[in-house]
Amino acid sequence: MNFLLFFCIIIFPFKSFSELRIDITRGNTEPIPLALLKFNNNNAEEQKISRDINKVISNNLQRSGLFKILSSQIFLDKSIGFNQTPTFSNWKLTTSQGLVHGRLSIKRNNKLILEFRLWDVYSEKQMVAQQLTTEVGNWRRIAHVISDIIYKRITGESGYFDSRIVYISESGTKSNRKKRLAIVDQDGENHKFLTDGSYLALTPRFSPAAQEVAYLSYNNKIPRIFILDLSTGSQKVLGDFPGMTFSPRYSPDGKKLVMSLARNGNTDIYEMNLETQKLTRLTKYDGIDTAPSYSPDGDFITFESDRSGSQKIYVMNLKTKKIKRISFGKGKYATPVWSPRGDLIAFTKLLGGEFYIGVMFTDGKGERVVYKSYLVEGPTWSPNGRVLCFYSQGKLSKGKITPPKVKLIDLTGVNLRELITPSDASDPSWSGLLP
Amino acid sequence: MTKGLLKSATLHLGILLIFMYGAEIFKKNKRFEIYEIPLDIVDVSEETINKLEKTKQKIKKVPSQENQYFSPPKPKSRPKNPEFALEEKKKEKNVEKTIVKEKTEKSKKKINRMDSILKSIEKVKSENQKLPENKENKELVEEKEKEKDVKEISLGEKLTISEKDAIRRQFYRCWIVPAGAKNLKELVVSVKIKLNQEGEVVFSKIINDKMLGNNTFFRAASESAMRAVNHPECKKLKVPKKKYDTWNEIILDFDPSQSLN
Repeated sequence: MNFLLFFCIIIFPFKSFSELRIDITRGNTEPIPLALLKFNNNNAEEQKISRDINKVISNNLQRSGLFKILSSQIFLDKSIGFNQTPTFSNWKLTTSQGLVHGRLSIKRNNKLILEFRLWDVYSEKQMVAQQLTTEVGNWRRIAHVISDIIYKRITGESGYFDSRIVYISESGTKSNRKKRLAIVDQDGENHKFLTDGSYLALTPRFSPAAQEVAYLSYNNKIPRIFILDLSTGSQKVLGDFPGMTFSPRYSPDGKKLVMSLARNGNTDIYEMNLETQKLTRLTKYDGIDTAPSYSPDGDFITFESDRSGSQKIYVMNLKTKKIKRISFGKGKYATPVWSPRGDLIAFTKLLGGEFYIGVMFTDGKGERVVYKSYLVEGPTWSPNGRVLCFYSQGKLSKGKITPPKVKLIDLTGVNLRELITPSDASDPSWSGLLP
Repeated sequence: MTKGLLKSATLHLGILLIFMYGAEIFKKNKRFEIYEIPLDIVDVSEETINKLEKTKQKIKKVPSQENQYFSPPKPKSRPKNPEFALEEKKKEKNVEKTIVKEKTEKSKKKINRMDSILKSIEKVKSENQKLPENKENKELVEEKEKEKDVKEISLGEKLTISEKDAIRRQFYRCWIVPAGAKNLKELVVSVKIKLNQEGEVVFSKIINDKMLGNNTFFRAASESAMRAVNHPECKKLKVPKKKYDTWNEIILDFDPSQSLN
């Protein structure tokens, strides 16, 4: 017995040392090739919806920059039975790493049923098999939900396709600028105006449940924060403060609102309990503290302040009320926004006559620029914290500047897209995933 | 009583001395405190390019050393006329007859001296020629023999850096990095692969799968690593067949944390 023990102690460590170990620290950063087959169907109506859903999924995944949808022309198998295992050797030839196929049917009660499977082609394993049901008219949501499922299963991170962006639609001349509140799906579809443009609307912010929007309105030339219920369209004024209120932002539980309040030339940050309407002052400084944003756990806020002589970013612990400066680089830092993932803070920076959108860790380290232009403002995070949305204006010759447009960029700073809107667009705010 | 006192005093003195010396020892130990120096250990096979280059350089250096031995040293100043030549000049003025004799003597002496110089140079040459042949060549031959021995041993045992790099490069093409994920440092996936003698992957398994649990990021990272291992371009690895014993089992650590650098 003792001999055996001795043998094990002596021999096994040598065995482990003798194994050849190779570290793979680099890889391919190209998009993952995916094969997306048209969903099996039985009639022309189902075929049309199948084609439309396919197109939305394809656009969503490709726009994320993480996937490449392969052309169906190179497929050896044009369709697969829903309960049939794919011939993987045929799919490996297409270089596809994943395969999506399924079937779609419309029932008599106008219910749309879609079943789909996601396969790992190289490992020859099924990754997802799900059935989704909705009203036929709601087919676009089903497409977004399927995109999110595929995205999450392959990247490990929740998706952002079933979400919306609220923004300020701008039209008219410089002297007579009309600014309306508008809402759109993250892919630029389903556009709607929420206000009629008779008064100025600014800085809209989604509630965490994506059912309410808080925004600053200059109705009757008095700046006040309004809360708009998206399902009913009703609006209410948030308190009647003796000063100017701006930069509202919801807490992660949706029960509180943090904002700036200007009184007697001094701007400080206040928190309001939406149930009791009780206002609590969070900062006390004879300067400008503004643009607050909650951390995802609700224990901290980040804000900008000029207390050090120049605009910098600060973090406040809401329990201890301790404040810590986190930005120390050159230039003016503004509009910090905490990532829903909790790991990063996005910000805008003005340096050398140019604006930058960047990210840094919550302790201020690892500052990284993802976009720069003549004017970039108002960063807002996608629900999964992997994409940033903002608006920008470029510089033309003779001092002219381009109209404001809302843009989306991923954290790598490579995949830049423009949100297609019917008019000029500014001040975007991205919702969470729709309930 | 006095005996007891003496005993007690010697005992206390002894303890005091032990403490004093002990304290010194402790102080010394503190003075020579060993600090840990981080070291990266890299397996360097003897069959590397650097080694070969060094031997080449050594071989190249040999003729240059020889040239040093054979080339005469540069004179520091102009040589003075020999004394006997000055004497001859004086004698030339006085006696014509003796000129012929002295000339012959001078020429003889010259020839003799030149001969001796040439002989001594030849000696030096031959000695010096022998030296590099004996010392340098012996060293080179010994080194080459050693290398041969090492080569013979290493061929069956270790993969060279370049052979490991070839495997890495192959996987760089096959692995799509889960870039942009949260906490990349925690997403290192270790895959054990077994290969047949043709270098084909016949078995693969994630060995740190305890981390799988509910961590969707790790699951995605592990699946991306497995896709790399199962990728058609990485199904057959570029490995030296002679060293099958070395690479029949490999653990691949897929580390995405450095991918964004």
